[in-house]
Amino acid sequence: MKDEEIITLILQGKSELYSILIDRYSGKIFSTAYSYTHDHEEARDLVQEILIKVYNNLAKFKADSKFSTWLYRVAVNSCIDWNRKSNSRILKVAFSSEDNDVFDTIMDESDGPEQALLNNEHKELIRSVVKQMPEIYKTVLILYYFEDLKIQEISNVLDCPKKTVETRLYRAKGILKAQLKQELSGGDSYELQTI
Amino acid sequence: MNCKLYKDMLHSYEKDELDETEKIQVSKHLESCEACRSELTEIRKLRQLMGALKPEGFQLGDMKQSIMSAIQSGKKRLPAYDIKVLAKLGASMVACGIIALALSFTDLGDGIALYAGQISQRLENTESRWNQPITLINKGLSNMSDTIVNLDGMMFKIQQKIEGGM
Repeated sequence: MKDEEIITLILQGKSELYSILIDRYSGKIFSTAYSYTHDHEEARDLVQEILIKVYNNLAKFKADSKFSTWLYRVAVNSCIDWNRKSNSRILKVAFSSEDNDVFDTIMDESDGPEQALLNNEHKELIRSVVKQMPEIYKTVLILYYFEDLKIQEISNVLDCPKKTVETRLYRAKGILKAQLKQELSGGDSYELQTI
Repeated sequence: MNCKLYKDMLHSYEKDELDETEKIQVSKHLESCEACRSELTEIRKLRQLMGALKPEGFQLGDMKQSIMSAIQSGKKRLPAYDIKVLAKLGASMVACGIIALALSFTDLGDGIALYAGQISQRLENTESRWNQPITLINKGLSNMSDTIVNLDGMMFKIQQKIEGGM
């Protein structure tokens, strides 16, 4: 059964069908929430909060957009709210399109003898850097790279033009790269500046 | 079109979201531009890296039941960070209590106690100042009441004389 059909039935009183939507989307929402919180329990709490919020606002869902897009919008807004309340440290970094080697460094090192350890270290590093990025860049990175959404879908979720998403992605990748390079090289005396 | 515009389009190009004309333009540009080719390679590497970072170990478990119960009872569960705010508030109050207790054993505590005594004395003086005008008003009202009683008595006597005269 399609999402929209399920929603119609739920709005007609069959609230138990909401469990199907929970099964379908809780994993994806968890993945998004985890990208913001970097904490399992916080992410679970957010998933629960988001799914209850979505149910309570189902009547406001307009069938002219996809349910998943609307769901992501609620999820991203809730994650951004969480981020503001949690007073996360935000990086202000310059970015450069140079330093082409940083992703190679991570990928090459991961093939070495200490593969598992390096993988975990690098996973933590990437997650940690993404978590600290300015909100507008973090969100597009999470949706494009972690959640594998298309640019058009991200544009619908964030309700902004495709071109804006493209520009933010380009800058976000540059910031991520610069910050990863800084962390991998020891992280000292890097000049911070606003973008 | 300059290189920066092509670079912005590469994320769309990677996910095959450009229209035919744009796709041809970008493909043609990539053939001649080393920097943009390198940019596209990075996007692909980053997708590979971040794609491998999906959090593991998520299981719905009893969360589904919990959400369904909350929905059916119409109640919303308080998120964890609200509880944390309450916990922080509680911790702050306990800390205040500990500081007050610690101060009571020090010279500073004696100073504070002395100052508190002075404040208390000043409050009593202020209270008595407030009470003074109220006492005066009460006295005035009492005098006025006596005058009314006297006037009432005089009126009664005048009325008796008038009636006696008739």
